Amino acid sequence: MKHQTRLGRIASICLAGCALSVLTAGAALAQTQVRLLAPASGSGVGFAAIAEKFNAAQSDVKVEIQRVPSGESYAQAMFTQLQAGAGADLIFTNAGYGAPESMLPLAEAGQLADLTDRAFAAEFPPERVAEYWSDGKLYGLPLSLTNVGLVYNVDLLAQNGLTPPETFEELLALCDKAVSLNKSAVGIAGSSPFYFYEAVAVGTVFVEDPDWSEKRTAGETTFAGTPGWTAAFERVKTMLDRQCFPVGVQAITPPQLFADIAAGNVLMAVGPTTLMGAVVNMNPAITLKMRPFPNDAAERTAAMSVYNDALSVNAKSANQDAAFAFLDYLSQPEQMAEFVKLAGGTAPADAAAGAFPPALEDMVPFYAEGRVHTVPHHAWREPAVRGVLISSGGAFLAGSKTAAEFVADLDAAWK
Amino acid sequence: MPQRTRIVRPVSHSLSPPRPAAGLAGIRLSQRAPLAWAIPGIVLCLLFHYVAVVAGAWYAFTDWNGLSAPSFIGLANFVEILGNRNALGALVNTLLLASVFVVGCNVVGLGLAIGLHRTLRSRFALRSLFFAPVVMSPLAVAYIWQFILDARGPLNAMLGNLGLRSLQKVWLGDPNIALWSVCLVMIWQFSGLCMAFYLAGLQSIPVELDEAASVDGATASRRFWRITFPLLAPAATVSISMTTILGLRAFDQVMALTRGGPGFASETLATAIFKETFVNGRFGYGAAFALILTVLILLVSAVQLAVLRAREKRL
Repeated sequence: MKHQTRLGRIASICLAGCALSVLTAGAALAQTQVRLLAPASGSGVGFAAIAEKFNAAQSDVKVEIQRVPSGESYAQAMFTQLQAGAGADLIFTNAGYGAPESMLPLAEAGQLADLTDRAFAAEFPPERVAEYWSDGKLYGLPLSLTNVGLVYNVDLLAQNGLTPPETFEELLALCDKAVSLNKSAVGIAGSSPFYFYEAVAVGTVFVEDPDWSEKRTAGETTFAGTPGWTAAFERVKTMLDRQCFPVGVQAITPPQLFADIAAGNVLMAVGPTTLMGAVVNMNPAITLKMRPFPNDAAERTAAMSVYNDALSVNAKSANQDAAFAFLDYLSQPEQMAEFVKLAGGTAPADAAAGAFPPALEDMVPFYAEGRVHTVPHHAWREPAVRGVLISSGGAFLAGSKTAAEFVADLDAAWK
Repeated sequence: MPQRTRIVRPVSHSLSPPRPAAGLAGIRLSQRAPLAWAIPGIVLCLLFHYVAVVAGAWYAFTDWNGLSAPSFIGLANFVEILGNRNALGALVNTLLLASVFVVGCNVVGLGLAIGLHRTLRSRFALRSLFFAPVVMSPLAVAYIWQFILDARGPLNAMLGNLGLRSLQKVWLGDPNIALWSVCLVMIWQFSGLCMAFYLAGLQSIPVELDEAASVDGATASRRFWRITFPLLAPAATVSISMTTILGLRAFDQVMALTRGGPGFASETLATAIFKETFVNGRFGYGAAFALILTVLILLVSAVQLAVLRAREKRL
């Protein structure tokens, strides 16, 4: 009898166990798994935090973040997955054209889902984010506004009785002063200097002709036929001659640049807002601010920015509804604010209201006056043109290319 | 009983050579069986190694951008490569880098092998020390050297402290030096591999030969050039072939140290393939570069192997 009771207990436990397994399996089956492909740093950190919150808030969809190294490695992973028919449900993309992970070439190849019917689409009309629209359809959720400009070390300038330059001549004067201080005035990532050349060209090309990229696309102008491009490269040559940059600038990588700024080896640097976050992570005591790269006159100086980072949905995803659910969740102001806190940049709502953080307060007047241009390469359909800004740009910094050869290379890359 | 069902006999110990088979049908079961067993392996090898390569080669004749359907454009990609100064520069850089790497790596490796072959008591520890960089990740090695070769890095600082300021260079940023800086790092990393090949070769040379020559009054130099060096021919064949392939497909070190720059000064075919494919989104054009590199490696390796094998027989 005692033996029978024990057997009965064991059977009950087994049955309960089986029932629990079935219930658990049922719950797991009901839950939709969604994969989000993102770069390891920056946006990837932001996505991870938001996904954790999203997963805890509901049980229907589980978002898993697949983080891969940024830059070319990210593009390689994304292309390989898409070509193999194993693309992630949610894909981190960049605005417009011009880079391998750009959204519009992917959209035009039928790889991205139309987001025009999502509620957030009303906040991002073509007038605000033209780089996200193709044939009247929206293909990504803008995540943050990235400014590109002259980042300066507030304390280092103040300690030496210097102020950030408002004109190009003032910048050159700072270069002379920096040399006397045994420092360099301007740091750039010379191994990948496309942002730097674009920042200089905003003043020499786009202030004069804001529609230059559209005209180049239409074949109405060329790099060589636009004096502003040659003028931009000549300004860079002048900076080289005045020893504005650290020695061997053409070989400096982004991490080396971050270290130079963090260590106070350079007074200023040219780069995107994400650069500021990376430097502050290295040296939390540093105070950095950004202002536009100076033009020949202060009133002709303009800011440069773009809603660079975006999240898109794979057109071939079997879990599109679940992916849309995460996208809708992320588009809420609270989530967007948290995302940019971790990933860098300015939340779209703040940017629209002109509410920039203290590090970007010098940019506010330019936004108020509408003196802002989009980062040019996002309108250039051929990624190879940005590639030339990197390769021939490096050669120009090394002194092995002339300005004339540089503009010729840019035109040759524009198919 | 028909020949194909003949029972396999135990291996004969007869000194007479086996009768030559007349075609596949004439192959005895004992000879055919191993071939049959290898077929699955051969099929898998062809499927996973060569079919993919051949399928990839087809894209070299298309304008594929990695996303849209590719269109056949014939030899247009190859014509563009031939007319592109930077592409030809990458080809020349690849050949130059591989040549200097092969010579440098083998000379240093041979020197290390001879130095650490006998006599030294600490030779086993030193062999491990010199071989250690070979097992390290090329990327990790490149990043360490990027720090050393930085314009404001330890190498230039050391040169400055030694009063050799005139020798200070922008090692990775000077278009005339960048490629050779990469080559130096590659030689540093892989000379240990050549050392291992040559050590294996040296250990297979009978000591008596060297001793007999020594007794006959041959100098160390004469013994090396007349006895050791010729008998190292098989080791040299392996070492030179391996380093040639490593040199021709150099990628990690170039990407990590210079990214092919400044400009195109240190661009190689392997980095050009990567950039055209994944930076510029020109998958078809990148595949054309890849096909050229594959054919180049095949040709160079085949010619080199034929020459080195002939040299082995001659010696």
